[in-house]
Amino acid sequence: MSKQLIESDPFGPIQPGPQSVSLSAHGIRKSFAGKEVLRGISLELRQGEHVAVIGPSGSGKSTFIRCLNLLETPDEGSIEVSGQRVFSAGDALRESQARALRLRVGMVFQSFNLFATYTALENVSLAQRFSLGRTKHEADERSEQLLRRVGLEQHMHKHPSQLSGGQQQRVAIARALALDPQVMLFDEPTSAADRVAFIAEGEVQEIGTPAEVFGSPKNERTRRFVDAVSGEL
Amino acid sequence: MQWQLLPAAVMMTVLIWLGALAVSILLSIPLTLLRRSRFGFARAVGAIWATLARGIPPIVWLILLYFGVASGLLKDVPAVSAIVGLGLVNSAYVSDSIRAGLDSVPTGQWEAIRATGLPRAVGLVRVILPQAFPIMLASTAAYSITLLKNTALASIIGANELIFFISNSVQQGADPLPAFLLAGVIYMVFTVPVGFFARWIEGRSVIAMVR
Repeated sequence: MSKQLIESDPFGPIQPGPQSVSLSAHGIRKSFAGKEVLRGISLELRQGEHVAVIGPSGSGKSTFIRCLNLLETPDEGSIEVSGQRVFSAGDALRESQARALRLRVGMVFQSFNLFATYTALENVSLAQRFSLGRTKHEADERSEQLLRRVGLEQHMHKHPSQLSGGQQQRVAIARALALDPQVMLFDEPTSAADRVAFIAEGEVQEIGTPAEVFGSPKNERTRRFVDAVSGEL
Repeated sequence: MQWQLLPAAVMMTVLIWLGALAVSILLSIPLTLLRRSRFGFARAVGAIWATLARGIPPIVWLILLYFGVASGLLKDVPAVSAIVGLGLVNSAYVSDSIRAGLDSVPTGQWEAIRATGLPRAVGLVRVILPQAFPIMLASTAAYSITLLKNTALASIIGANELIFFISNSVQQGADPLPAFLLAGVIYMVFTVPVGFFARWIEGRSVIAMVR
């Protein structure tokens, strides 16, 4: 399944930056316990562009996008945002620099990681207040606007445990957008789909939950497709 | 049995219990910081502290403190020795409770804190601790039951608490069976509600779902 690097707001345009390249990574290398996961990845994301990073499981997709907002520190390579060098391996990385980068590069996690003790609205407001310094009133107003935009006006005051996976994902998207990032990173964005329809030869071959379709496909064609793209078996 | 002295003895038991609990909570904070430190030396100090607190029987701590500190410096040496000694022993367990609480919060919560640019301290106070606190509190309350039962050891160094009073009464001719049965019932009056509280607060915890 795909990882996507989607630049700009999927629900509409945000303020365009002055540069045409908004995020670029050069020669990113990363090893865990001696095993090299990333072997010098370079990628440029241009303004308004949607880039999907796909590959078999264990291929380093997650590690790569986690390097882009420095949740993982690359062993080698550099990262630029709007032409500005924000990370260079070997240079001492200050926490304040990493935080500044993360505010410009929004992230939607595979498991969303919503703050468990807060409502949807509070989830979207928290970082606006304590990372950007917006007042509670300003933050809540923006949060309400974003949550309405992702169709959660009925669910603003619910806690994550009361929301479905898809609803949690939309809260997570709103939470990231609320910080007005220049780039949005999505880790496994399709995993929250409620149902998946596999279409081949102009017909729906199989429809069901992602677990059913990807985990135990009933249809022979679906099974061959899933096996082929997952790179396993 | 001089019944009129029983309330004072119960009060002394409660004083040693709550005093030692307060001391252990105060001590557990630096102990936890040492054990989670980035620096190996600090972690070693924390490990030695926790090992000594856990590895030496509480009664030995009380006697060491009693004879170590009892040079006329303090007014009520037995009670103070008991509070400090039991507090020291319990600090290791409260520190374990804090660790258990922090570790019960999924790492994804820390990642979301970092990804949204929140300062660490804000994330700790506003996101992590509200989730960790019920676990810490439940675990600390459970250990405080052991702590209460350990206050009986203070009778050995002469603190005028419940067991000291009951033992004296028995020596002066009270029937031992009902006297110690009474002591058991009095301890239960405290331990049973604390046990219920621990389970109740644990059931109220809101921890991020791990999918």
